Amino acid sequence: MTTFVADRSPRSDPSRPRPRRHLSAPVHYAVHSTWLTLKNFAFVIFAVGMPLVLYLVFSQTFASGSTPDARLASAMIMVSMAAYGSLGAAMSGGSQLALERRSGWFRQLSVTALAPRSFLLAKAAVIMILVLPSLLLVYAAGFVVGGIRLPVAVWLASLGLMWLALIPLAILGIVLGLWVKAEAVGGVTTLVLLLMAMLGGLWVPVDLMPSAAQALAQTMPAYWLAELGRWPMLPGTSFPWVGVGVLIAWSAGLTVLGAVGFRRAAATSKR
Amino acid sequence: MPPTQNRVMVLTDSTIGADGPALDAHSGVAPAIRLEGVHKSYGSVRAVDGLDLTIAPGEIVAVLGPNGAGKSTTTEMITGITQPDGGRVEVFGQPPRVAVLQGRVGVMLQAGALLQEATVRDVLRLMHGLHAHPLPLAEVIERADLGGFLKTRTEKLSGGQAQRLRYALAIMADPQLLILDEPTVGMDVEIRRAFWASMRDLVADGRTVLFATHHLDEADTEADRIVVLARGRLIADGTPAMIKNRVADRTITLADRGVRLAELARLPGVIGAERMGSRLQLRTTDSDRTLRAMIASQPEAAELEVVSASLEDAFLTLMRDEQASDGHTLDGQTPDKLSEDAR
Repeated sequence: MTTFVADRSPRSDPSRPRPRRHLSAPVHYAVHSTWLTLKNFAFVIFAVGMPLVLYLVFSQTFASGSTPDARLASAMIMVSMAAYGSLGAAMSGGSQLALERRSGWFRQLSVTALAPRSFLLAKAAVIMILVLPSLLLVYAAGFVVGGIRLPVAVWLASLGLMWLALIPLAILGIVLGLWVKAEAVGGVTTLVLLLMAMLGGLWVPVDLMPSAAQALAQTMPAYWLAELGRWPMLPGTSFPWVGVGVLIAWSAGLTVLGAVGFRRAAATSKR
Repeated sequence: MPPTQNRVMVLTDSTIGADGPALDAHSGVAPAIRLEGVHKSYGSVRAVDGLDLTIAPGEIVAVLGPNGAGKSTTTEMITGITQPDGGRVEVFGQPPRVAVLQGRVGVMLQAGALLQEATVRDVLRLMHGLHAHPLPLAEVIERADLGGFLKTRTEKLSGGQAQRLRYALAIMADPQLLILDEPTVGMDVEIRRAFWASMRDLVADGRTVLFATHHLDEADTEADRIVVLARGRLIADGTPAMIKNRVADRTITLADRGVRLAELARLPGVIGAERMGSRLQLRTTDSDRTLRAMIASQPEAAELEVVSASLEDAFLTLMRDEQASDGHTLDGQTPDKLSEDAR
């Protein structure tokens, strides 16, 4: 039945053809890992499908009609939902890491040519790729269904700024994956996602919040994620440099937290 | 610190390089593995307690020891997953991490994780690109005999199938040093046999193998050399034959006819006598003396057989000696018990 193959020429022959590696280990990991995640049904539903549906519902409810005001309102909702969806995608990348840590897959990877540090960088790259479908699909819906018409440069600037603003949130996902137990990571991730979305004004516009909440929102990365996405659509407003500062501060703080968590995870990963 | 060195029984002959550094000086080849005074504690538990071990390239070495002997911790330090608290670990003369990055080390971790929500083929493809100079994927699949379940998701694999996938991940790097931590757990007898045949074929060109097992017969038949660990220390090191010779006792059996058990028990050298079905069984420290005396005094003795100790006997004796010399118990662990623990 089972054979395991017994006749083979010895390996020591140096002329024996070897497959060449086309990609460096971190790039290979990022590409394959992204593909595996995109095949994951739950990921596609929650991180891609849900924000799309929410945008359609909200924009049809609150911003129907073809007046310029309604178009602008629809665009604002589009940015908020794209921000919400990409935020969710960034968080889910982190929860994957927690599961891999528990199962010991993290250790299995550490006995390959993929150095642990490169692994985390690849992981961050994966998250930065995985946020794109949420952004792009919601924007596409804004164009096709919402009838939003903007110069190409504005679309691109909005997408590009949001993508960059997602960097601290990708790091946040990794930090959660490194610090939170696999058993708890689902709940914690959802909680953080909702808090971020709510405090950052993705659900309810910040203008409608009490002043204390408004002040708090301005310290939240999700708020600036949406603000940066909106900025190209609102001619005449000044560039939100404060937001850039806030996002950089979050990135720096979370990187430190991630570095500490990484050392801890490497030392305590399931044996 | 207990004086470990004088209690280590190194069974050296000219072919076994227990004195690794000297070996290097002559051949100029770095040992595959060198551990020098390695310590590792988890809290108050000393997992590895002053371990010295040198393994030359091409050796196939079995590591035996009860659970908690430090086998897995040692494996993890050799693969760079775990850092020792003290002492030195080198793989092909380099830090373990470097050897791993160069693709010189392949590891099958004990109950090693497999990526969830992915098929066997997904896992193979993902891992294949992460090695410096991997074996062709088709060869990996063939050697590990994965062809029948490439499309199966990892969480649906049987125990034996999962082990074969872990084996595939271990050999994928085309490693010079293959480390297998209890590789045959979960495999049935037939697959176990096929597994070892595949492993022998892979390493026939001089790869080094270090494997931990609870199946003493595997150590006996597959290894050139056996090292025995107990409580993080090396307590024996030698060929399977040498380890077995450690137990000088022989067993003599004879037909239960015309002889009296009580008289046999008084023969010189006999340390135990009992009736086993239709035969009598004597344990003796000196079978030659016992037999001469028996033939002189018991002319009726018939159907005599002399059996030397098995590796299992040797292992049990080693564990008992270790216990006695330390005044500790090993939780009553015996190889039988160990086989059960290993699922």
